[in-house]
Amino acid sequence: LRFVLPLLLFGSSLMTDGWAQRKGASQRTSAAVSMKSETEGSISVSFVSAPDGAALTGGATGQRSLDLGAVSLAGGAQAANVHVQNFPGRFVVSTRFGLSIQNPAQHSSTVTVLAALALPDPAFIFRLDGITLQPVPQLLQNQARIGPTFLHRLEIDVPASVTEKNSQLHNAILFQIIPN
Amino acid sequence: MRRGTKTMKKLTLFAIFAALMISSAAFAQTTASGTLSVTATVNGTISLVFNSDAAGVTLGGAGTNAATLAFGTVQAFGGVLTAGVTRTTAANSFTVSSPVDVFVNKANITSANYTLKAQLNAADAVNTWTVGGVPVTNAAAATITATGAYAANVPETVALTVPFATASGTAISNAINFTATAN
Repeated sequence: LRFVLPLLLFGSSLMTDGWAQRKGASQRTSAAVSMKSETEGSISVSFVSAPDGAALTGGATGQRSLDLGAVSLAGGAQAANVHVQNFPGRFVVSTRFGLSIQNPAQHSSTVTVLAALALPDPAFIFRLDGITLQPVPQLLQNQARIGPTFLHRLEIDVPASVTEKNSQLHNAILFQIIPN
Repeated sequence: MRRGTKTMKKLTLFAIFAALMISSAAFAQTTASGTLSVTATVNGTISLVFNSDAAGVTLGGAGTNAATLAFGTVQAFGGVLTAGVTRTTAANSFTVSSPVDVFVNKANITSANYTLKAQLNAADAVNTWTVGGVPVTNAAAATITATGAYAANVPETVALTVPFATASGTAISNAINFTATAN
């Protein structure tokens, strides 16, 4: 019981600050700092331009944009490092980008990477490393190492039947990183 | 004594629970997420390639938009003509011809058909050129068809008429520029 009670008190203080999110008494502040430390040490993801890929734009490293520019079956791509490959009845636009996962807390050395389309797209097919993306998260990597930047290949199938009406491709890929 | 034991058990269980919660809070790692916005603009295009017609001369560079049609050695009378070459002889000239398949494809565009025009690359004051029966010069592009069908080999006969006055051994070389425009 001598050992249990201090532990109980400490646990109670930690949980109260962590859950209630209050900035009250100084005693609770120290516990809150402990929780904040966990927040700072949490896992994070960042996108980087691949040396042979299209340039990423946008501010936040975890929220960037990839503009593939104008693409066409006969004319190819106009943007640098964007490739177009022709197939009967369709063409494929592709480029590469880097994904880096950081975890200062180092509680795990690998993560599971899931990817999903933000919006269902009836016209275009998005593939990441050969995996067709859907609004439901798809497993991209189940043992991705934390730290190094991994390059990923984005491919978009453009059917020849897509016309001027839906020529604007606009979607987003949502990545979810889960520590193993 | 019994009550004390029960209380202690409760405290112990709660302590274990609290310890587990602390452990969970200390080591639980939130998932991370990132968003990559992707944009592109798809432009509609049409493409044109030349294919060898089954009844015509085998083209060099067939399947591309820069093919070559070699009639070979031609003459008004007799001799052996290159496979696929047809010859007709008139009073003062002879004509050699061959069908060439023009294949125009479309992608990402709303268009029912196309207009095909042809123009001779360099002026030819001696010989006469026609495509699909339409005279072709370098002065202006001539309309070969205004309702070309997409995704089909459309045979267009390329013909060259040579006057009898042309000296033997004369080499004839020119290029015909084809332009397909989506309607």
